Amino acid sequence: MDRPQRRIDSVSDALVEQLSPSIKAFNTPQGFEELYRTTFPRVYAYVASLLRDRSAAEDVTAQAFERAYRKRSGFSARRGTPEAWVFGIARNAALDELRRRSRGAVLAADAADVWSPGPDEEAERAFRREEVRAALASLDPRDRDLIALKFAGGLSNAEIARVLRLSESNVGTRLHRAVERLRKACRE
Amino acid sequence: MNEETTVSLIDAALASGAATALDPEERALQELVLTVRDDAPTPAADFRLRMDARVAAGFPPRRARRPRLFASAWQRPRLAALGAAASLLIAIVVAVAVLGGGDHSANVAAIPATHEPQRSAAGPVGSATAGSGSASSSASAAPRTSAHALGGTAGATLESAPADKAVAPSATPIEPPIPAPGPDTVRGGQSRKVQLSAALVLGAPQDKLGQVGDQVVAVTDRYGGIVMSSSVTDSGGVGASGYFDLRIPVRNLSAALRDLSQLADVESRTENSQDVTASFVSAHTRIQELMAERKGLLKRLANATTDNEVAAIKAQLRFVNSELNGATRQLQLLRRRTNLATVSVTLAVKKGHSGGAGGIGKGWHDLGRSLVDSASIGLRVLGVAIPIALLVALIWAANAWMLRRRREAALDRL
Repeated sequence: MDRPQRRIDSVSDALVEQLSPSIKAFNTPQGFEELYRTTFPRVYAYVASLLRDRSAAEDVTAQAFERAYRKRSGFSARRGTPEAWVFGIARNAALDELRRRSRGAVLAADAADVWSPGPDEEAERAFRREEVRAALASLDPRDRDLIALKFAGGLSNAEIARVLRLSESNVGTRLHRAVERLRKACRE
Repeated sequence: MNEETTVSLIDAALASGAATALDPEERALQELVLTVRDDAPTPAADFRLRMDARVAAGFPPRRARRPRLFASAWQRPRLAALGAAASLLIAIVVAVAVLGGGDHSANVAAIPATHEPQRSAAGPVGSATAGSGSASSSASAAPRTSAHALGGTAGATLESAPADKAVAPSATPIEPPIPAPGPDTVRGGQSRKVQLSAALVLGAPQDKLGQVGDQVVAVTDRYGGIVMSSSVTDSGGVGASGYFDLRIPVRNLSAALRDLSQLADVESRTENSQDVTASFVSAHTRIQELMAERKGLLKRLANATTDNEVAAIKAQLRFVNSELNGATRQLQLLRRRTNLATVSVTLAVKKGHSGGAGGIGKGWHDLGRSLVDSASIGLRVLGVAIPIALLVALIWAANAWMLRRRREAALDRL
């Protein structure tokens, strides 16, 4: 890890200590349940965006939370916020799932399987959503991963930096480029 | 639109949940961000209920699990292969270390043999070779070397290096005397007579000098020997010493020397052998000749007819008898010399020991040796443990790196 990144980490650790007093209670079952309630929909949204398979997303999300529950005693504030830690576990589980798919006979999931638009959705908004989905699908997987962490996961740039093991400024740069590519894909 | 503006617009839209920018382009960006966020997949209600229940129950196991180690090997075959390779390497390292230690042990085990000098089994006579004149051989720190036997007036010398292993007088093992081969051992049909002698210099702590002297006498008695002379000077200082002139039956010489050597530290040990066969034969022949002459004189005396003749023969008989007595005494002396070995034992104060301080000095010495031994063992353990720890750390780091690479590669294949 380079020196600027170390400085960023130390600043982040200090912020975590100040802003997240619940970290110390995170090791208890009640503390973990609180973390689960705040992160579960976002973790699922991120994993589903990455895998684009509802069933697999459910399995991976459940697996990620179970793994986090078992390893919660080993969590350290040096690893960032608990949210970033859980997202890191979920990302590893999702990537392992992608590796298993690439290795063997796993049925290709329908990309639309993840999204389930309501019956009364307005046609224009539905059209807009399909347009954005198509644009997202055309992006580079790493850009999709970053956008999913930011928009579906709701993580801050510092938390994304923790998950992806990048510097925060690098995350900002990559996010800017990914959004620019998304906008361009939408216009096309 | 630069990076900073983009990031701030995104954060503002996500925080407020609305597109608030006035600039149309910036507003479009915020609307896009909100569209992506709002379009994020949501968990199904039944899945959410199941997860809520599982979290509340603390994730109870759903099915019987495979054993952890087996499951790990099953799920990560490469890791299992790496583990097997590491185990093999560790086994090789340990085997090499053990084999190396075995050689060292053998060397160490060989050392005590030099502390106990022993005469060769047959002594100078058993391995006798024809020769004449006088000769001697010396073998330092090689007490097991056979002494060369020599014909005529031959000699062999064995000297041992000063022993550095202290043997407490009280710990002297008492073993049954082992008869040594006699001096009449026949080689090539000729009976040889050998005169043996030995000299021992024993180093003992000053306060033990008297005790060692008593034990020298005890050993001599035990093997049927004679103390011809002895002196022990206890001046209470550096000049304390002792000297013993012993005669030990040749058949018991080896055992007696072994026991004497164990009374204290052997600072030097010398063994000599001198072939006196020629002198023995000469004396024997001389006796036979004198007896024959005497027999002849007796015959002549019986046949003598005149007084003068009788007187002359009697005078010759006296002379012959005198010669015969002298030759017989010489033969007896030679027999005595070949039957009893001359052993001189010199007692000296051991260097580094001075009276009562010897115990403390020895204690410090033992402490130092114990510390050196402990450090040696510790270094050996570290020598094995550090490479193994480094190897395990390397394997762990390599595995983590490979896993991360494979995961990122899976993302690329998406």
